[in-house]
Amino acid sequence: MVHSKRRIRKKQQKLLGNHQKCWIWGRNVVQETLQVGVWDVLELVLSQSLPTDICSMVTQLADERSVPVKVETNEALSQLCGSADHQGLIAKMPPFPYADVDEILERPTAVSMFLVLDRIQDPFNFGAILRSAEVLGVDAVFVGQKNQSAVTSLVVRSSAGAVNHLPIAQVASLSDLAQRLKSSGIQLVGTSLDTEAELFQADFTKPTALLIGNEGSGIDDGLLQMCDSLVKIPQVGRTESLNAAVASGIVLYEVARQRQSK
Amino acid sequence: MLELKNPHSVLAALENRPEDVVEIRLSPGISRGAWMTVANLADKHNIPVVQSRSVKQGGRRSPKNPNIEGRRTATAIGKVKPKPSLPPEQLFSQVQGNSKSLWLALDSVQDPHNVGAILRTAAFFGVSGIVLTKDRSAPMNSTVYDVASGGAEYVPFTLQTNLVQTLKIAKSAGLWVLGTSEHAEEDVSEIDKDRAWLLVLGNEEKGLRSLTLKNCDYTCKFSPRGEVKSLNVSVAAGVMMSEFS
Repeated sequence: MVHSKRRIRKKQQKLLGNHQKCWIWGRNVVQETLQVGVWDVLELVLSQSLPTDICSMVTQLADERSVPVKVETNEALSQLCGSADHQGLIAKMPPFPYADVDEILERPTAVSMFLVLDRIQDPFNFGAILRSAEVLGVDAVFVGQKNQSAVTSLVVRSSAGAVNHLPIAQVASLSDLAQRLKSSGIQLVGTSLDTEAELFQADFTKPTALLIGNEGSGIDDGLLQMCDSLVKIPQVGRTESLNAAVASGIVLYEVARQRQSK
Repeated sequence: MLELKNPHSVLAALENRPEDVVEIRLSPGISRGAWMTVANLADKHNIPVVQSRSVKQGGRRSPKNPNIEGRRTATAIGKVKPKPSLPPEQLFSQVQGNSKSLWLALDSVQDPHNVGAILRTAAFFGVSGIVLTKDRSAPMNSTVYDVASGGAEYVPFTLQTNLVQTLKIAKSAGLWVLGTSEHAEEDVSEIDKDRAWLLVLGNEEKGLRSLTLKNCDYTCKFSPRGEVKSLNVSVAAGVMMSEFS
């Protein structure tokens, strides 16, 4: 009988993650995801204590997109998503819809600015990098498949919802992608500690793809060889390196500054 | 007592104040890498290095690749006394006229990861000193020290309940107080960088408190372009420090 029981198990929908990991939470993040609509929501769960104006607003949004809505207690929400800072709103999500590489590269942009992430493993770093990228006007982000943090609920949270506004594409080989970017006239700039070239000397007004390396080991040697130029952030103090998210933010800000003053 | 799991934060403590390092605990598997440097240095200072069999692991499962660098599994612990807060008068006694220097104040930053990341960046850019608030703020715990990756040891700091009072002391010591706010009119690029500046950064959601804002000499903002309104506070702090260095 055990066999037949297994066979009649309900066919499951693909989810962002197992158990608690398929939920995203927080007022801004959930509301924005519903509003933008690039990432389908499977189910919305609201807390009983959610203020009525917010409640009616998201319910209307959910109706427009035919998303089922449930109301539960605050505790039930915390248990579902595994976090207490859900602010009364959580949403069950399918896997993240990565963007298509060809589509991104064929899309006409004024002066392209791409970000290429080489094995960013910490979800908080990944999220913070996406947030900075979105705020500072990056067109799209490319990530590899191996040893790279996926777009998980933690990433969504620390990106402050930037995943909804920024195309993120996954590629099998970062070096193939780098080759392709270079052959379409986009300069590949790497960040490294072993270079004399300082950040402010680089020219970011050209079409650029910025390469950010792994938290521990930096950019892969093969990719480093392919870079058209390397930059480092000028250091004054004593600790030898910056956090990957902070370093990306500083470089992206410099890019935005150069492009604005042009 | 702090229990530090990042070898770099223990190493920085050993280099700066070995008298406050109480004990190093290693699990048997460790034979190379940063923890060995820590153990050797601790030995030189006659600090006990204990081989322990059961150092607590982060999760129930054993790490898949314990040898990959950068994976932070708790295979070792450094027991270190917290660094004492300096009196603000002593902190600001290092101000030298109005020649270019950079100081920071954090107004109720709540996430220990953000405070740690800011300390790490501050050490990188050679920030002269940091003012931290006590209430509704991240405590200076082990997470802060570990995320700072040594930064907490290199940058002098003061922990204060009354930020406004501390800003006044800073001003009388010769610092210019610059607040960061989304509602400011001036962009950071318009600020004269060649002064002795104290940058004040606010809480992750609420920004600077209104009383803090009132006590700033100037306020400035970034000009963001995207849909998400603002940068993460540790990233924003990094951009500011880089601009002022």
